[in-house]
Amino acid sequence: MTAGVTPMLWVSWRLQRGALLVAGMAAAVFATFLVVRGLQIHAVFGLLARDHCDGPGPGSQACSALANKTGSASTVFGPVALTAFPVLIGMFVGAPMFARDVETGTQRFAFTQGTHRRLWVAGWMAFAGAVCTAVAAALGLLASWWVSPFRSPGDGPWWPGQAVTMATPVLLAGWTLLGLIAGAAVGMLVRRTVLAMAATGAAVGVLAGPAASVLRDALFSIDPVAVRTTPGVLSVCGTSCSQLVPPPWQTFGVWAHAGHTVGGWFTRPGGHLLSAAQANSIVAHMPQKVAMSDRVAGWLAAHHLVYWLAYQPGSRYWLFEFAELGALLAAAGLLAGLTVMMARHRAA
Amino acid sequence: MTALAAHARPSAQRMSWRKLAWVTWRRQRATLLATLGVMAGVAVVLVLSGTAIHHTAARLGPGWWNQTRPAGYFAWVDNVPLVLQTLPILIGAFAGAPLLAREAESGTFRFAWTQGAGRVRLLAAQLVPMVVVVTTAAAALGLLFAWWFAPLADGMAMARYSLSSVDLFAPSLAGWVLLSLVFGVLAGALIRRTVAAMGATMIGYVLLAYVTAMHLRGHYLAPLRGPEGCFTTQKMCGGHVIAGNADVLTSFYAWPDGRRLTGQELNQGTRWFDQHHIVLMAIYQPASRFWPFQWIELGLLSALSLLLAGATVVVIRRRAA
Repeated sequence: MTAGVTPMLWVSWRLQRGALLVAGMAAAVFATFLVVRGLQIHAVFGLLARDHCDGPGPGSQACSALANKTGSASTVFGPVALTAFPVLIGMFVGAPMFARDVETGTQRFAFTQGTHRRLWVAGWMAFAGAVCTAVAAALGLLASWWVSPFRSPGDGPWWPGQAVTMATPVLLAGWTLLGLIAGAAVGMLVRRTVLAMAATGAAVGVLAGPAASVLRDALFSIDPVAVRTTPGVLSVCGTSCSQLVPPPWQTFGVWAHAGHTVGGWFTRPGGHLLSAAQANSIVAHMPQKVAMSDRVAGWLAAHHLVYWLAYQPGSRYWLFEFAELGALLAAAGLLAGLTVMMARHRAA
Repeated sequence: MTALAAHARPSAQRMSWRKLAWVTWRRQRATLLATLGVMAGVAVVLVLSGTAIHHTAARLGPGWWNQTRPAGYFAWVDNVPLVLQTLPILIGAFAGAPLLAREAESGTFRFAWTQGAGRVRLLAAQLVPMVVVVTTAAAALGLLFAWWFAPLADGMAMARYSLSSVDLFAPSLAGWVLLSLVFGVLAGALIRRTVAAMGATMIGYVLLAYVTAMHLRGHYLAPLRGPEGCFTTQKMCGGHVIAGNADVLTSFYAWPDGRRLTGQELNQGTRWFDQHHIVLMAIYQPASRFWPFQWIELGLLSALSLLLAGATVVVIRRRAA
């Protein structure tokens, strides 16, 4: 006889309530911090606007005193700290979800209670996933609200970039779900709680850090908008930059307005693309007095060089948000399927 | 007297320290090797990235950071200290917290505490070697970080007092690793649940580190007060004492005699500030106090760790086997 969904949900709650309540309390404490500090930041920015400190012009010294109150260190501290949330949920809720039962042998009891083990495992993951994803989305909303006063119209929706890209309702929810399911899968595979927590921390940390960065770069490189512009870094860099091996995403110090900069490159007449090394060798021949002035564009034109900048416009922001969410849901679904398969093949 | 308590009485013949050391090694080798492995991995990252930074800084000379940063070189430099910051947290949670919590949770502590070693000696045999090895490794990592950081400090890219780097130099890092480890052991002894103790260790460490960074570190010695500079429209006036890597705790606008400006005076325009020689005063810790602060922090953290270790001994002595 197979038990119904309601008893299974009840059992899921009874089994996971400790982990979920502690995670919920930690999230509530952090949410309180976000609200309190966020209100302070919003209040200071309200004063800046009241005193007309947010427009062009020098403003009074009171403006700088006010601006100092926002504190550069606290600019994105809350949202940046929030990017650890998926890792912590994976470690403390996901990894012990099955590992602890398997380690202590109590899974034998759970798997022989009249509900098919696939349903058990899927039910536990679905229940914890729903709760954690909802909490993550709420925290993501708070993080977006926190950052909003710092963002001027020219900054665009991706500002301030990589550090807080994940701290939005959509992406934080997606990454939290992936972290949770990854933790559950690792726990089922490793069958040791502490080891599973360590492995989950490392795996989700790498996924949410370097791997996510690679994924985003790959997404951003799809069909960017290219515009002719003038490289900006030459005035700072001078001839010294030619001594360096340039990074592949050389942007020469110019960034797209209100969008995400993908990269930049030089072309010769006819659209012939120059490599970054060739571009740097050209920079090396630019006289320092030109590089330090506003005559860079004229000098480049005289040498038949055009600088292009590729970027994703701000209007595509939500497209990229949901593309990444789709990739995260697909990965989470795949890992959930693997976890169910592992449970199925495991002897009770 | 219960049956369990009767069994808990240690046998007359005490186990030697040598045997205890062997038991400790057999039980903790995986944790210890994993911890040292992670630290070695971080050291490799520091050596590889540090070599690149040193090489570039030596080639480009003074101002190298301003030449490379706009072009995006070493954009990951900010992340290396962040990774190092997590090290004490992970050591406390994964090496410290399970030390006693796992035995308490599974019930094997009853067996371990009744083998003639004595629970306090067993704890000492488990904790002391772990503390010595891991803290020494952390100090070595801190020395490596100081080498990694040197060109960044010279190039004014990062301040040594900055929140992300100040506790990563050898004395401070060793102190925080020691504290985190001992805190984890105490949390495990008190909570007796591995996962919960790991979580409590992480939360406790983060709270303590936050309070230290925001409210305590700047006041290890009485801060100094002096003009940070004169923010005039034309030039910076003399007495710019906050050069270099000083830690400015707070700054405020003041009259030349040091009186703070009122809110109404702050609303004056820039010309008024110039005419009245208003200065930006700073409450700060000078750069010369950086290393004394490091040793003060190590001393405080060591003392706190000793207290926590003592509390752990009290907890396990009072617990029925």
